Amino acid sequence: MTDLLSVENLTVSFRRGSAAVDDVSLTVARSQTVGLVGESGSGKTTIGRAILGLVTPTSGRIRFDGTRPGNEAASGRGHPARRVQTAPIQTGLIQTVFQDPGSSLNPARTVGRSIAEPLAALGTASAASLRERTRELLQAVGLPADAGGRYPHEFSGGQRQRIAIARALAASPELVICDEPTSSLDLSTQAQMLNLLGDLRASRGLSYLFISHDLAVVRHMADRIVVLYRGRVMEAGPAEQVSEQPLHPYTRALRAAAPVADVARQRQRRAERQQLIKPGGDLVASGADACPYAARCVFAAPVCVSRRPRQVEVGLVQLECHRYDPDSGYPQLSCAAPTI
Amino acid sequence: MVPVLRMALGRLALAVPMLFVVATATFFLQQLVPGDPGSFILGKDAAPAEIRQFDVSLGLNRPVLVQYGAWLGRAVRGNLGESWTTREPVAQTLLAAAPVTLSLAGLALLVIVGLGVPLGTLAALRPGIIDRIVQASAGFAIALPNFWLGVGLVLLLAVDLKLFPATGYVSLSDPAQWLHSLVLPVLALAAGMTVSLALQVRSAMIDVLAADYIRSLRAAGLPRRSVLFRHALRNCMAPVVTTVGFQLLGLLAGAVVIEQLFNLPGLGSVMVSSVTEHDIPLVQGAVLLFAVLVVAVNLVTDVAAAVLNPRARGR
Amino acid sequence: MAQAGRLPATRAWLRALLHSPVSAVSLLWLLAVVVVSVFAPLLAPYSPVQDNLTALFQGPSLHHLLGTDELGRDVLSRLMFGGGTLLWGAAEATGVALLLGVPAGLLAGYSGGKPDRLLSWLADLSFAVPAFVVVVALAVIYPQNVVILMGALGVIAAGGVLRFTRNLTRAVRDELYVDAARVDGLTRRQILVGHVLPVISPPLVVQAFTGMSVGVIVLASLSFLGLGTNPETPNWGQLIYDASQQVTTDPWLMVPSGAVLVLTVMALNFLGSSVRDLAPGTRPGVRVRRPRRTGPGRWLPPAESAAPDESAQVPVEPSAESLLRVRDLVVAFPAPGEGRLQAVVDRVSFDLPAGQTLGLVGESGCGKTMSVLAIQGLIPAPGVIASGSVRFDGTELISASSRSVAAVRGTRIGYISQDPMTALDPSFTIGSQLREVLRRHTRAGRRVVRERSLDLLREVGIADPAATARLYPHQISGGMAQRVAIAIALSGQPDLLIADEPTTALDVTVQAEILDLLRDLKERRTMALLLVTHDLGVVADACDSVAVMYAGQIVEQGGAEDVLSNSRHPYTLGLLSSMPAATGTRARLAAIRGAVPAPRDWPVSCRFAPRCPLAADVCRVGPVALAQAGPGRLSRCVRLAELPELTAEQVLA
Repeated sequence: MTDLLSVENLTVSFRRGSAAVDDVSLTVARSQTVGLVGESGSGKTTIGRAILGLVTPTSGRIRFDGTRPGNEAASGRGHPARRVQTAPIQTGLIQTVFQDPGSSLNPARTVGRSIAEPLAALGTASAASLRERTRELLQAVGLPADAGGRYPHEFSGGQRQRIAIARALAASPELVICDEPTSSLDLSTQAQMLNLLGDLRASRGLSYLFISHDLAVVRHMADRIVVLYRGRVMEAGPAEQVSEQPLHPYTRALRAAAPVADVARQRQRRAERQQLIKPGGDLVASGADACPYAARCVFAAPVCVSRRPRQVEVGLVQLECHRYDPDSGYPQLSCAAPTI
Repeated sequence: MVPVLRMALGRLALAVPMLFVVATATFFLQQLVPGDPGSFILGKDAAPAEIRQFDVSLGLNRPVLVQYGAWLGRAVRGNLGESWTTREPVAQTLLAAAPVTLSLAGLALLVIVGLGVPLGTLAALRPGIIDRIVQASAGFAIALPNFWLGVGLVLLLAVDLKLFPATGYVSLSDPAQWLHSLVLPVLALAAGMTVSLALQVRSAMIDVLAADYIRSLRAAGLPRRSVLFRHALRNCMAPVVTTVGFQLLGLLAGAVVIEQLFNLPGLGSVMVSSVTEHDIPLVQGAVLLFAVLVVAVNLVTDVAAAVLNPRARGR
Repeated sequence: MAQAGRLPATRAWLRALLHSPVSAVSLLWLLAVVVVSVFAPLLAPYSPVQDNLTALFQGPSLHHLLGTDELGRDVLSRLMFGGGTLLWGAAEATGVALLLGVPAGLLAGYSGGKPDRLLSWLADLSFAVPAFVVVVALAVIYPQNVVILMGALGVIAAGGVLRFTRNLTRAVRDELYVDAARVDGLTRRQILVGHVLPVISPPLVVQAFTGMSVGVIVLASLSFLGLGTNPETPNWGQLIYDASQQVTTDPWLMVPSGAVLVLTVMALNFLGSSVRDLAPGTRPGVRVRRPRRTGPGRWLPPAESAAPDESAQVPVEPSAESLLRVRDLVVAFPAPGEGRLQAVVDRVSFDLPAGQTLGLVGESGCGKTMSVLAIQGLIPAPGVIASGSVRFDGTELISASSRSVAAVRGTRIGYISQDPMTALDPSFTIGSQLREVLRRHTRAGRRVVRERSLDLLREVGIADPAATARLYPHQISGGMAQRVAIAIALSGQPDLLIADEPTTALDVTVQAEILDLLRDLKERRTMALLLVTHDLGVVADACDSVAVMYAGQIVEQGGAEDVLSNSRHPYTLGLLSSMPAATGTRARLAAIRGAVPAPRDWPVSCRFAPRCPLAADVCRVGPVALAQAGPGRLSRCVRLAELPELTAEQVLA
């Protein structure tokens, strides 16, 4: 069974000399959710946009559904490639839910019209069937079926995000790229949204590429997690493993940095994070032929700043780190493997 | 400052081809005028031979492109030809008229900014009487044509009350009289724009005062006045400068009408009279000079806006 | 597509336009001018050029409703004939400008690249042209030819329209809904017509009205100068000129022609500003980065007086007088159009002892930001502190003069807000802002101030203070900006630091550093910290005690460890189970159903009841008071006594 989505060696450079996405490969299988985790500047959003065809890759390939060639880019160093085909995009098989519900819906259009747009764009449905489908979708996301005639500004942020989800489902996609769909929502609304996304996935057999900065949220939604830093994959593997027993120093730092709502556990986490995060680290960058995380890494050694690490496999996890010693874990491990 | 300088030079470099295009267009203006200058100036009763000789003396029988080249060559050196009606050098006429227009526009600008900014600021700060007056009168004041206002002012203050002269201009050599002769024209020209600027300032100020950093600065202990004058006003200035720039252009246009009305011998009057008298060289020269002024105003506005807005300067 | 014809959005604001009395009147006036001038030959009592030398300078009478002029011509008739030309001429100029400028602007704005550069250069060229002067000059070739003169004006004005359209289009192009349309496979043309145009139409319509009013004035001015006139049917500009010639003899003549001209221009301006005010909030690119959770919510009928309910508030130290003591704080905003006040902070009380950290937790609209702004006296107008007491180090702040409150700001109480990028003045360098605040707090010389500013920057973890001080806010990252904001807040050596969601806008690793920095500073300087947040993890990390807020009220209060591990209110329990980290599995989250109500919808009884799985009739009877739920613990739950028997899962099943 071929993968639904295959991204191979994707590189996207907006400015000469700096790559927003640097040689990233990942796959999404049918009915699988892959989580892309990273902070700002990690390239996670750019990857999503490249898959959707909104950004032209500098090199690499994006294949959708194996048999149907997708957004193929001619590889070649530094030459912007031209898109060969955008068939899967135009057949609505890949869709997206954006982060900002405020601007992902055209304020001058009724929500019904926005929801129906992906289906209407295919040109195959009649006006009546579009209306019917819109009502169906509104109900599927928990909104009243007759809400289609209202405008976005009449809804709250959470409701608008539901509308965006309804739109994403309109053309019956197989893959939905969720770009930080809950980051601008309140905690209780976020929980509802995650539940909704989970339910829809189960009932429609969807695959998700779930992009977020929140490791806990990604852990909750994804089967596999890919951790990005400054455009490169640092670690990738099964969700549980990557989020609970991370191997890469960055993933460990990410995990330790996210606070938990338990004072005793958080005290331990704080001790850990103080050992894993170098102060002022966000203000420096590594050179081109180095591990991108080297400047911030507490385990960095001379080799880290002089050469890019190769990707190694440690069980089910792919890892890019010079310092990882499979026998003993890391040196200088003053506190044990994460306990919390 | 360096990026600003670079930007200014860049704009200047762009301005030159633009002026060139405008100059070329005004030259070819002449080609479209029906009839020939000779018969117009000497009158239809003049002998055809005289007319032809007149035309030749002006070089009007040569091919157009040759004339264009000659004109361009002279213009670059500051020689804009001679007026067909007065036979005086165009450049001289224009230079004599320029101070009048510059006085008028300059004083008007002083009034507009000097009154408009404080009015707008007050209106933004005190949503009370001043604000309501500004907003209510705004629609009316902006709609009032400057020439109509001018006539009204002349009637009231010059004819009835005899406070100011109805027409005429006194040069700077007599500063008091100079000012006195310009009061009414400046008022007529500036009134509408003052209110318009006040509205702009008000709205920019309201936006700025709602900004986060204003609150943070006050929370840090800075007194209201310094936050207002040093920070709020400063951040309003960029959009205000752009508005003032546009208004300056409007002032140049309005000057044409006001000078006619008040009989001020400025560039505007020259413009109008040269048009009615079909004095092509003078028309061309005046248009060119106005274009230079416009480009200069645009340049200054852009540079000022860049100085005031660090984000617009580029890295 | 299901919807036919013009967008409903257009119809909606068109209807609103017609409903506003001012714009309806303006529209009617303009229509009247046009109709009257078109049918003037039939309607006017006299011909505009018919003179009557026996009836000169007559005032208004039955025969001549507006009097006669210097040649005995009827003023009213001349007015009736004189308006149409102005409007048609202005319409022509505006039409030409729009026809040339809008499509070009759309192309330039959407495509970018070479077409953009070329078209923008052309537009800039038009800005170098002195439009009015050129039109006057054109009168040399085409005197009295209004069509050509106004057409030329339109061509020159097209440049401005091009640039305006281009900027609007560019802003829309960057909006996410355009991205969504591209993902759907819409062609460029479909996107321009279906998405861009409807959104930029209102501002363009406003521009059109402005253009019309400028066109009318320009044509009237030209006519006043004697250009672009028509002796057969003189327009109002000519009439004003004629009147001005007779102003000493008959000043009244100035009035009618001036009045109709002013009214027409006013009508056009009013229509323009009405469109601007009424069109749906569609200004693209003007997305104010609203912090997710602030805002007083919408204004509505005043909350009813509940019974005084607070029992002794002592979260931590019963004996010591707290540094900050807030009692029954009420912040309210006027309900629009109702003349009443709606409370957004409803009798909030808490204590903060010196050197401790109190967390104020809640979702958006719960009133936490307004509460801390009230402490500093920085509630934005038209909000008011309706009642309550805020005692800081023994001094009552609410009834104090604004001068005393201002004296406290910065020197005793420091503040950092949520979004560090907007918390700094974009027009000044970092160093200059820091030094300005420092100067305010220390009477020291320039060199000392400068040194101290660099020390402060170093203290907040900035590696190269001197270089950073020379930068502008837009040149630094979010984490750095927040450090700078902290430095500014600390410059007065405050005893209390109020941090309103200081890490929400930052990456999680940067958040960790900022939290550590705050903790560090707190210890080194013995400061108390009032930390507003929506993140219970941050509470666990940084706070000694916590107060959970919902719908303007505190619903639970106590020591942080206690509240988090042993919650005594369904809302707190709900928040805890909403966090994905809590479950650790992929099972459905036990989410709180429903949404946070707006202040207008706050019930008098328990405000959480509509969403609470434990709600019973007893919860809907009347207002619920805060009650003791253990030593140093408070909870606003009627069914408090039954809670211990239920686990979190049961509560939220």
